[in-house]
This record gives sequence, structure tokens and C-alpha cells, in this order.
Amino acid sequence: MAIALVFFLICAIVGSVVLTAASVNAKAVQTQRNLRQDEFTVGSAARTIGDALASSQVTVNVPVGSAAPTVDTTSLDGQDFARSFWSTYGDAVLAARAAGESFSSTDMSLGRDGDTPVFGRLTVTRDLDISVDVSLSEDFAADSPYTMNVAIQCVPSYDLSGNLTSFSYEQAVVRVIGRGVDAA
Amino acid sequence: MRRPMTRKYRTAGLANLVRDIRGDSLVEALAALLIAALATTLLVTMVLASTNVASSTEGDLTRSYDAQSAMDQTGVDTLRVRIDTPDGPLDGDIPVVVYTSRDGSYSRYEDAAGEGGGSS
Repeated sequence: MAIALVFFLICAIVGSVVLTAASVNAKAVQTQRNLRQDEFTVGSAARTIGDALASSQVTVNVPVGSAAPTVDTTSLDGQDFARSFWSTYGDAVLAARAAGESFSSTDMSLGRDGDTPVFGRLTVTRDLDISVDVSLSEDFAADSPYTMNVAIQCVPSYDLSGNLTSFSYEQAVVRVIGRGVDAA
Repeated sequence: MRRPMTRKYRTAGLANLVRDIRGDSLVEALAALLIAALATTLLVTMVLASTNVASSTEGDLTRSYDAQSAMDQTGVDTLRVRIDTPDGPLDGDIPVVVYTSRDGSYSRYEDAAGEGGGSS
């Protein structure tokens, strides 16, 4: 009788372990699907904003005297988002650069209608390099499934006097900087 | 002087029980058989259920990988971008090409112009 009870106990334990393992595996697959779509959502936004801002050639009007330089976006025909960006913020970016500061966004969002919103943080450094952090978390929480960084390096051109005359951008580089609980 | 062991003490441990050469009653034997049968049924049921779940999971995983590797272009859409800075807001639209898996579970997009395109 006691042996039968012990056998019953062992069977119950083994069965529970096997069933639990199968259930955990099934749940992991579902989680994997959700995380994969999250990666597609953030990655698509990151690559799209990177491509839209990269490879743009911006001309800088260098004024005579002490006036601040301004940007000329006529060379951005056909690159409407980049043109809109530099028309709106170009002068402010150059002003920040002249002051030795970075130009940063206070808020940024990207997304298609009906899609999960993606939040961003855009910075144009004093070297005119563009950095955009994108995440599903508005506050870029460490436990956000995916947080990516889009880095676009600037290639400046100067005249003989050392004045910035134009600048262009290399291809955007997208890196994953945080993933789930591993995010720093 | 060694005290004689009662049946209770003799059956206290499994080892003692194995060494016990005294037989059980018919009722005890039948009860043990019933418990063993129940245990076996329980184990087999759980293992079969686990096998079904594992098989279903494997199918889901295979379909998931198939869906990821075969995403077709399903149309164009617009990525809406809003940037707020102390120098004012910017609302821009970037046309994108949308790719969707055949079962609709995955969707991604990319800049329709490839580089620097789009309209605002």
C-alpha cells in the first residue's frame, strides 16, 4: 500500500513537471511572437527615420559679418522629410552648434495609424551627427522590449576660412541598445 | 533486552517494508493496485497532454518562422512623425512600403524612397 502511494506521488510529480515544461514552452512561443512583432515595429520606425534623414546634403549660407549662418535646403529636392526637418530646425541646429551645444527634441513620436506608437529622442550633436533613440516605452524604460539607436554621421565641408559651407550624412546605422530585462 | 517490533514500526520505512515478508490482506493489495492504476493513468494522461502541447507549440513555432521569412509587400502607408523641440513642433509624413506575413501576424515597413524620400 505504501509503495503504491509512493508510486502515485512520483507519478504526480513527474507528470506535473512534464506538463509544466510543455506549458512554459507554449507560453514562450507566444511571447516570442509578440516580441518579434515589437522588434519589427521599433526596427521599422528606426530604419525609416534613419533613411529619411541620411544621405541628405545641406548647404550653409555663410553671411558676411557677424550674422548667423543659415541653411539652404534647395539641394534636398525629392527628400521632403529631410527638407522639412532642416527648414524647420536647420538654423536652430547651427545656432546650437555655434554655442557648442547639442540640439535635442523634447518629445518625439513615430507610428502608422492604428499601429503601436513608437517614441523617439532626437539629438543633433555639436558635430552635426544625428542620433535618434526609438523605443516602445515613452520614458525609455529599461524593461521596454526593444530600444534602438539610429546613428547618422555627418560629413562637413569647410571653406578656406574654416567656415562650414555644407554638410552631408552617411548611411544610418541602427543598433539595438536595450532588450527586455537585459537593458541597462 | 530487545523489544519486539510491532507491525506499525516494521512498516514505518520503505526498506523495512521491502524486507517484510509478511503478506498484505486482499483489501490492501486491491487498494494498492487501484492506487497504482490511478497513478499510471495520471502519468500517462499528463504525458499525452504534454505531448499534444509540445506538438502544437512546435507547429506554432514553425508557422511563426515561416511567416517571418515570407513577408509580402501589401501596400503603402504613411509613417507619421512628430518632433517637439523648444524651437517648435514638426509634423512630417514619410511614405512607407508595408510588408505583411501571409497569416497577418507580422508586419513591418520601410521608407518607400529608400533613402531620404518622403513628404511632409
